[in-house]
Amino acid sequence: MSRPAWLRRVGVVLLVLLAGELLARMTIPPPDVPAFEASMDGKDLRLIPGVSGRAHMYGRTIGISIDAQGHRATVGAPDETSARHRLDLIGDSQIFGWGLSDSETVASRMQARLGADWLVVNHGIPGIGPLQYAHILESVPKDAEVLIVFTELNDLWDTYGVSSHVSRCGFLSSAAWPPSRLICPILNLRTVQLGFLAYTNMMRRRALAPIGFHPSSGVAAQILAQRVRSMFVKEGLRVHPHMHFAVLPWDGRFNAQSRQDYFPAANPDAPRYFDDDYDLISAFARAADPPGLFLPGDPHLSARGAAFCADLIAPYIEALSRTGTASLPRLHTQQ
Amino acid sequence: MSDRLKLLRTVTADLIFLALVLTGAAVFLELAARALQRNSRPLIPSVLDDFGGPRLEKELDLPVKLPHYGRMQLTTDATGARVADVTARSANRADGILFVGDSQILGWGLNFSATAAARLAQRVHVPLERVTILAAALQDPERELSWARDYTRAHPQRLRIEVVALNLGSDPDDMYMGRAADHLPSSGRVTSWLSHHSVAFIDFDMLRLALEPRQKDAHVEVNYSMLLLNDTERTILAEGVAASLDRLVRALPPADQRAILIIPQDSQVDASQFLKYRALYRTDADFALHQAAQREAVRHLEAFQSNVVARLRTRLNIPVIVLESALRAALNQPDLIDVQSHHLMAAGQEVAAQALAAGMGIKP
Repeated sequence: MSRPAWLRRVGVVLLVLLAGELLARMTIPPPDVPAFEASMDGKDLRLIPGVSGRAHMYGRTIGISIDAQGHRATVGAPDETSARHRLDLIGDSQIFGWGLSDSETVASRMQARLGADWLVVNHGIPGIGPLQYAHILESVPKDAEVLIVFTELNDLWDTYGVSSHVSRCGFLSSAAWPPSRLICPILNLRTVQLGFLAYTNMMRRRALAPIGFHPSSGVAAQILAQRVRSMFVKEGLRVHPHMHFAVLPWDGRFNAQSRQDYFPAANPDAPRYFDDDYDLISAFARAADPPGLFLPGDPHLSARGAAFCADLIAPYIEALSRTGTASLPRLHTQQ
Repeated sequence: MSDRLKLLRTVTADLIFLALVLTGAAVFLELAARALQRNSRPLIPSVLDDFGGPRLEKELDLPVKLPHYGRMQLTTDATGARVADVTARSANRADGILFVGDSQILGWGLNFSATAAARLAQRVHVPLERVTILAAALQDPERELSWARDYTRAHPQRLRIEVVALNLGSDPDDMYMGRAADHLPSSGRVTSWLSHHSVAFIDFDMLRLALEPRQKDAHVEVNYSMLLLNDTERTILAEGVAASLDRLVRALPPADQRAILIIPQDSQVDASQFLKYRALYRTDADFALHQAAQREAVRHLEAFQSNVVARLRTRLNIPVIVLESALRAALNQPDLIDVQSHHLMAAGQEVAAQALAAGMGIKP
């Protein structure tokens, strides 16, 4: 092959790739918004203040905004100065609202229910667990109401403290990617992002059953649950004077098809590992179509699930502004 | 004939030739690997059960030569339990002996006759064909329950002796941290088939693992669970271990005599055992750090062992035999503990059999 012909073919390939990239950018929003930063070893994972964008997740386009303080934006939140009460939500991707638009998160739905008297702050960060919840709790004002939302799916895993989440160019990624900004142009290519998404979906493998649901993880679950308890309850008292607990159920409790994605076969009736003032597990079980409270094929809350949680919890929080802490039910201690 | 057709024929012929060369090379590699290893496997074939626990593959009868161990013959029955030989598969197990545990009880790298189970059988004149070992590497008392239940369904006959072992070298770590590092079943059929049938494939896989940089602090010779847990958490672990052993014993077939055998970590027997792991560390400083950590872990292991024994004696009205002092007394014997791992060798297995016989009041 002569050199011009060879060059022509390379040129054609590059043009096709460029056209593909342009077409992808014109037709499909990115699958994620680069809103994460962390130290190179994955510790201190946080959200980048001021980032906002649109992402195509779970078959639809959503809006994601991070406020100036580095929190997922709560739609309808009043000024800090004008609100009479404050509610801080602490949790992982479920509280962040993974796969949901700003207006659909638990925080935004709570804000809508509670009104302008309340400021609802969303401390949810994907990839964190109880060890980081305790750290965030230290920054919450003592007079604020705090709701810590534990996640059955992975909080006990995260309590081992060996999380492998790292941040590269604003994306949560595998540590296998080199910690260099030189890879950012590649990671920002829409075709590369879509290619990874397609590969992940095609190669989808089963995951290990959550600790506590895994049939031979009972001992580890007891130890890890004790560790979580020791962080938030000392000598029988909660470490923050206005702290509430909720435990978000694993979708596998209600969805046999979802359980197929896990190994070994999990026990859907495993006891809840921590206190829950709102008994979300029972509430989810009583709901019409419990699997519909989660995103299709994913363990994160759907918009309906987030609204369901907010509707369940908000009345108790609202009552606080009228009757004080004493009237709040401490309904369900650890099973 | 058109040029296009000619090109197609040439390409097809090239592809067939390439496939033949690759197939020939694969066959050559497999034959070479088998010849070099005298047709023995470098690993023990195992599968994952519905508790995520490993079991030996059922109906095995093959030579195995684990790295730096002697060649051994491995035979399993329809439940994956290790038996003496092929004829023992169908033998009546009534009045026999059953040992349950992990790689220590399996007799890692040892022939069946060298295991503690076989040696105890010799003492009480139970024929080897009635001796069964329900054990696999990475098993622990919590997840062996599923295998024990399946075994009991297959062989419900009353036994003469049952021994369930707790390996302090790895069981507490497996029960606390092991679930975070569990394996998923093999992802592909081709990979799965190769790992069961190809010696060369296993060799390459072992080579790959050996060349991979070792994960920081992933040293199995250090009992991290003892270091990472606080007093309250270690107490929960001790209760969990005792409860798991209790459940495991109750899941087994009925037996005239039962005992729990507690096998110590090698550095519990003698602190100098840790020196054999020097080659696993890049620097003297790194080794010294981990050696000091293991000294601390052993201090906790001693208290943990006492805690578990006390709980077992409350829960189960059967002898609990702690092997630590017997092994320490036999330290001058050759072939007691492996020179590269914590596994009991032939003399160590004999010490275990003697301790069991003494602890259970069995007279030769």
